[in-house]
Amino acid sequence: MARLDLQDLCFSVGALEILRHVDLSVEDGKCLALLGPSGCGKSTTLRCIAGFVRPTGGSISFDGQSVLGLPPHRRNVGLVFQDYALFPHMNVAENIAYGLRRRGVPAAERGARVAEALALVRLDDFGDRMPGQLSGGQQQRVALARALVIRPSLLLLDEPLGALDRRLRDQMQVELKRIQREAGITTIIVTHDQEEALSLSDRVAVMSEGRITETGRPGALYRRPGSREVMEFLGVSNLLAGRVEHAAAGQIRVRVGPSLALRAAGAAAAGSAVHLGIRPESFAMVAAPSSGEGGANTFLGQVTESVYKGSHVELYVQGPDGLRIIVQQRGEALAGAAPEIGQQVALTIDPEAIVVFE
Amino acid sequence: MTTRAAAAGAALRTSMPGILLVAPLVVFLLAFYVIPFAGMLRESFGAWTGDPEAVQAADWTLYQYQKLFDSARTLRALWRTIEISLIAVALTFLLSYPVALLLLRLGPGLRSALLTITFISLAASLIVRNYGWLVVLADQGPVNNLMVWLGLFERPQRLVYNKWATIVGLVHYCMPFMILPIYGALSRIPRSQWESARILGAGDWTTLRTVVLPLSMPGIFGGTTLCFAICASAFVTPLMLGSPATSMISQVAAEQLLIQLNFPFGSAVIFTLTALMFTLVFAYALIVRKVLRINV
Repeated sequence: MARLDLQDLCFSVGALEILRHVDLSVEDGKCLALLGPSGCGKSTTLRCIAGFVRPTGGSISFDGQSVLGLPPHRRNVGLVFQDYALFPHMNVAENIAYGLRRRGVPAAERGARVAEALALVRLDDFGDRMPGQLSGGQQQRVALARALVIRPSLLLLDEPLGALDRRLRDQMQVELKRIQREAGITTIIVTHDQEEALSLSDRVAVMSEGRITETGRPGALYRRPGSREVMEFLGVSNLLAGRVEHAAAGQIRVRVGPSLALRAAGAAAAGSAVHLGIRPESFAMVAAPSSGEGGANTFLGQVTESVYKGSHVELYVQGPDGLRIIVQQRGEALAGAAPEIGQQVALTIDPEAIVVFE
Repeated sequence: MTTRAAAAGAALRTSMPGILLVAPLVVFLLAFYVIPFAGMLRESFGAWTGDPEAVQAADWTLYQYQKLFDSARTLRALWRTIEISLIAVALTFLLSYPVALLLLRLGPGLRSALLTITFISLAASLIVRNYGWLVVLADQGPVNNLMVWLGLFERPQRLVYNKWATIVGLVHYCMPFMILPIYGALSRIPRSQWESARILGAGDWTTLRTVVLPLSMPGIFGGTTLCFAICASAFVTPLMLGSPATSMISQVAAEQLLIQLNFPFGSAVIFTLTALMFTLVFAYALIVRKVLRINV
């Protein structure tokens, strides 16, 4: 268990800057997700922490102690690879015991700790199996047990759920959370999947082009992202460009088209150009369309496409002034009657649910 | 273009039975290997004693094999062949594995340069290469001169016409056949295998010993088997670099077949060597499978 600090971490190959001054801290026992599109530098950051890549600048420390001078096998880090990288010529128990052998743990204790690790990942009777005989989910749990059994200062997970199918992903998500909590270990998850990042971590750091653009708690980051890029990256969103018409304490009115102005919670100078970010699920459908601009933040639109997604329906709505808006409605809210294509709907939005970007 | 070629390939795969693809090879092997070999096997059970006047006792007899196992010279040559081959294969392996590891680390340009250098020695004829070793290892050759100059010996030593000169020649010949399969196997080991050994606490040597070496076993098996077969059937190299006192089994067989014209005995020698080699390779494969749990 340890606290991790990255300070001013830089890495470049020739003129290509892969990491640009990355600062990051993870508190002891917390779980941080490093989220970003492929090529943003998140994997390089992970490889720097593990010791496979030597940064060109900056520092990495565990509990305030710099580890830059240590090779990977002396860092005491647990790493679960995307392809799990179980040793195919060793059975499950030997795979898990590998790190203990390297640390000179006596045979008797080794056996006990392997059994303990297998119990943690709920594979008690699998010690004699070969990795090739296991399913993807089981292989991942063995990889996790192998990484945890050495009692690492830090656990690194590289795209942990990427190779699993949908149902197994949901199952492993719950398992991973339980194991991380029970082991109480400082964890870093590298992923490009926003759902994975939001559901598994205590904090999310969004990366793009070698920089950390924003860090925050999953809920806060999802509801009130600090930039348009982060909002777009964390799931589907509507972005409306407009100009502030009227600014009062805590609330502004933004004109997004000749016939539509929306009130939003936030602060911006009157006359300035802003973007409004609205999550598709923030819209509510009003039963009786009120005439014109009548109700607060209510407007009329025409459904151009309707996609049924099981738990919810995704509607593509053509709003006033040619605005194209994506709306998500929960199945039960629609009471079985999903709007048909071409139908008129009235949408309303809570000013508090709108995020204002300067 | 590429997609059309791929589609054609897929169509070929489904429409052409596998047997048709190997048919030319099967015909070739039948005509030039299986049939002659069967004839040789039949011949080795013949009773010809080397005396044209002698009456044939029976159609089928183990006489030639009895003679073989009674002949101390033949048995010594057989044992020497196995010994020389095992030493040569072991030395070839020790020299080739680091080269294969180096190939893995080099960039594409340097890699093809090194591979070319490795294979260029095969372009020269075996006789030329062995002659080269005769010069290098000669009494007044560079190796002797260097050893005398370094003060290792007072005067030049006889380095050729013995077992070790034969082994040097065989190692030289075998190296490309060892390097390539091992390099192939190494390049198929994912980077994450190396890295997971490292992150779990293994240093470079331990990673090599516990993960890389076992996982490259298919290549090691291929390379060592190939080299063993090459060494055990060597004829020209021991003839040029060895002496009659260090002759290998192929020389004994050649003498019977080409000089004594005793075909049944020569055939028996050849068949014994073949059977012994099949047994050794089979036992080797079995050990690798059972002990290391790696399919080769």
